[in-house]
Amino acid sequence: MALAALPALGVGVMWFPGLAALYADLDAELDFYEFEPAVTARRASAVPWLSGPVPPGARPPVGKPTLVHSVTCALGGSQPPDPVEAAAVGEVARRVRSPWVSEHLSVDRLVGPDGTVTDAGFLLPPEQTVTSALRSAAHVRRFRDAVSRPVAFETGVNYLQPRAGDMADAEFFALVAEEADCFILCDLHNLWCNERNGRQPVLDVVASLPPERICELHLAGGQVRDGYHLDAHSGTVDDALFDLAIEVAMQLPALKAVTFELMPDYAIVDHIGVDRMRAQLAQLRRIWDARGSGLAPPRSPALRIVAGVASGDESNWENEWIQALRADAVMPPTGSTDPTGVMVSGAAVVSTTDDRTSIAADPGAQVYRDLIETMRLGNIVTALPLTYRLMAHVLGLDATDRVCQRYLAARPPRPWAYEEAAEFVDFILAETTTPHLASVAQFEIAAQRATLTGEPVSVAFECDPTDLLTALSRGEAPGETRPGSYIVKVEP
Amino acid sequence: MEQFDARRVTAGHPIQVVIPAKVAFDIDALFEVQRSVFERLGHPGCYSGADIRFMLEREFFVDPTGKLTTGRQFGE
Repeated sequence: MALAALPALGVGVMWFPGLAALYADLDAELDFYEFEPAVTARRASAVPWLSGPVPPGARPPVGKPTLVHSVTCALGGSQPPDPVEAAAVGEVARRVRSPWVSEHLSVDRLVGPDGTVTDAGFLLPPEQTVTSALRSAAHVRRFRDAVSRPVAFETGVNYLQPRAGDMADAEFFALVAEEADCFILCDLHNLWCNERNGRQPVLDVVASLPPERICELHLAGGQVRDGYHLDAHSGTVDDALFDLAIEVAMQLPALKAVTFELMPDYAIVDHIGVDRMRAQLAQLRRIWDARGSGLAPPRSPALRIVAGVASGDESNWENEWIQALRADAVMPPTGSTDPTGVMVSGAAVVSTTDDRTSIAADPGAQVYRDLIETMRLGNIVTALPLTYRLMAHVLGLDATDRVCQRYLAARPPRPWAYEEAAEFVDFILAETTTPHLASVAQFEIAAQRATLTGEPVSVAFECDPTDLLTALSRGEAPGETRPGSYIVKVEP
Repeated sequence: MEQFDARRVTAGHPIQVVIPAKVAFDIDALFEVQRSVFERLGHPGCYSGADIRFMLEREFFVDPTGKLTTGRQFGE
């Protein structure tokens, strides 16, 4: 089947509400915006707010082409995309007229031994086998049907080492793309991290991908922690990656978009303002202008061989790989990490392992555990800042850290901040008797429920809530509270 | 936070304080990142690095003199 004709968009950025002001100053230099609806949304099966208009401030400014980048329908796992989530993504894509929709060739849900499906809390790497590729291709086709427009899967980061018997990264990506007859979002920073962490070199990967299917490049800055190069979207693009990107773009005559990704929190920490971003956009423009100006590389012989391979030799894939991820990369062993996210494991150089059923010996498994913890804790303090501050002031940071560690070990991840918050409150109220903790935690949960449901929610306080909440909102320790019977009514 | 003082007092009943949800979440005055209500509850974005929101929050405290303290800088 002939590939759909996609419009040429040019140079754009991944838009977040927290970067709206920065990008507003650069609007004239941007050709398009890309955004992730889930960042400001809810689990579609629980709160169908997407049936209404996308709230103001939750999407990029109108007037320019807008791309939808999905993070809730990962395409590389044993489970097909959730049809309700996929429909919600499709609805947003329809509303913003996204020319195509991208999603990750990753694992975001895990099936337990008893068949229970839980969230991974992170985008985990797929097993790179033929069976996995064919299953992923089926997921892509299903997702494309749900969103009713062309789909590009993103080439993901993988902090694990290659395993004996696995397909090479490029072979896996290419087989999925050919089988699904879809586009590829080539995330060069992901591939660059993979190369620097011991996986296939970027140029080898790109040379083995069908160039006519690569419609978009993602670029970002990263960070090195304990020897691992992380896809952190934490700053500007490394000069070496820019040079590599130009070399890659020259081989891509069908390239339609070049997108820069940056997380809002890191923009503050790294002091990225208008001037630095303007310089980044100028560099991105060089990549865009170089597209298709070189000779296309020959197709990899490996691709042609793999493309003819039938499925069926990894019948235990679902159980083995998913269980390995669940056991070794998601749930923390007791007392494993510093809750600030500082990794306690060093990145060791490991040889390709021949154990196909376990990833525990791979230091990358610890990397995933640490990163998942930072994300879960980030969700908690974002959704429950006053609760966390009260605990930290009353119990002390160390004791609060220990409570957090016990929580992380006891409960599986919940990717939506409001869900993780509810789990955390349920846990801490059974663990601690900190004065006013129940009221403050329930106050924050009430604010979430009022937002989610549109209905007012009331919470009882046994002290004047004004002084208490004001102090916590300023980061101050609560002083003496004035006892009394109060009802705080949180209105949507 | 003056909205916290929007009280309704009724004799013999608890004092009622009414707070809009967006005000309940409007607590980032000391952070430069201004998160919307929607952002506070949503899904983390597409990235695979260390999430620094917890570390930023953990370092965010005000000492008895009212001065914002950041005990440890990012990256240390």
